[in-house]
Amino acid sequence: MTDPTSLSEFRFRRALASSFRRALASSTALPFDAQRSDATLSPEAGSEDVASVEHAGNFLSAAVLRKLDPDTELGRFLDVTAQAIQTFQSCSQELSSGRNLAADDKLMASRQLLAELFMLRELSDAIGVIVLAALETTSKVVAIVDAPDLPVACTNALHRLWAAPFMSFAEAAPLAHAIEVAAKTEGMAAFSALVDELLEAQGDAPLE
Amino acid sequence: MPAEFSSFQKRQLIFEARYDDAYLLWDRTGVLWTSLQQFFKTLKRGEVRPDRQTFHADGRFNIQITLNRVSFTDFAPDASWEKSFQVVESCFLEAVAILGVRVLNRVGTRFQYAVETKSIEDARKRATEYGWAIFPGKLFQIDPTSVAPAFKIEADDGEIGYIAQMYAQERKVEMDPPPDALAAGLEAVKKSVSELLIDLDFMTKKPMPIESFNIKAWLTGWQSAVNRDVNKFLNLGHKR
Repeated sequence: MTDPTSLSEFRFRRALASSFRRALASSTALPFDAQRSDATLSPEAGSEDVASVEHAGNFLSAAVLRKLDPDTELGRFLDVTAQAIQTFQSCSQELSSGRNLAADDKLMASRQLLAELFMLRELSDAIGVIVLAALETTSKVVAIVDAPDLPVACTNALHRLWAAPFMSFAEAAPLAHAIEVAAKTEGMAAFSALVDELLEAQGDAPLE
Repeated sequence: MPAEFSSFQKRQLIFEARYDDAYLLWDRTGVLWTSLQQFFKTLKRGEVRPDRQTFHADGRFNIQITLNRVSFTDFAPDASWEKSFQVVESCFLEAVAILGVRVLNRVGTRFQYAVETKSIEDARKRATEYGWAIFPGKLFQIDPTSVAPAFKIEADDGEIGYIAQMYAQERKVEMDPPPDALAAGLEAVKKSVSELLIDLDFMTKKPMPIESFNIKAWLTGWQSAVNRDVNKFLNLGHKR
């Protein structure tokens, strides 16, 4: 019995295994049809084949996890990210409508939301990488008119982050890079124009 | 009085994830199980086939990995779910990474809580104490000799769903050793356990990309939901 390679040992193990399976099969374990394919399979039912699934791009996002318990860090992350997306979208709309000061206000509001999101970076590396890039980049921008692509880049990255906060670092890094690239501008021509606009609104003469 | 939730013991946790056929299983089985070894003191193989392997760990876990599903079962959970969740989380993350799983077609988790009883009749009797088990009394002019009430709720909102059940059950384990084992002194084993069971099965109803899924949030989220709502489930319960 001590030699694991012996034939009797092998037969013994097989007999034990099969008698155990028989015992489980004959038990009155589950009165309902809980072992049908829709239920989570218990080990003794694990030999059943699982039907393959057709999926035509109709996937669940991380938001489904909030349904279980809304008062979690993940729930907070999803809420704040949704607000940040909305703020960046408003910022883009204000810019395209020529309301530069309002766009700047939106940018400042988004920084506060990003700072809040950064506090939730423990949830995943992707959150840390993307939110840090967005926070640093928006903080460096003096006037959003000089980086009109930044709100769009932030919106895209945050959209993806909202749906897939647990993405790999390899996927998160290009999104963070896109945010950084969107803020690279030459000079501050648009900022000067914004200052003039502000002065004009106050009734002062534009700067020379 | 019907049994309160606090009198139920944690009986079993099953976590299962299904995915499209992961053919990397044929290449990386050795790597996979060697890697999973780090999470356990003992890891013993049960059934090993090219498309399905079952291992037992630390005398309480059952791990099954097939071409299209992984399943982890804790048969002897501690008073807290912490250890169970930790093991399931570590093993799941390792398995899906090694198998290159990108989309989870279905994620399911079953929490089972039980009150052990002296006999199956005793378990059934305790089930009759809940309000949903309305006993009609004498039927067809004959007094019933046995009543086996069971209660089941199914829900599906298109994204997630659950099957919540309560029932009495009897588990029987019988092992008849072969003659050579009997001759070596091993005795036949016959054991029967009767219990009243709360069986809560939670599952996703649509596929989910792996980058959207967080197993820790999934397990702790359902645990919080159970603690929040299980008394409501049982209070369906109280006799009017």
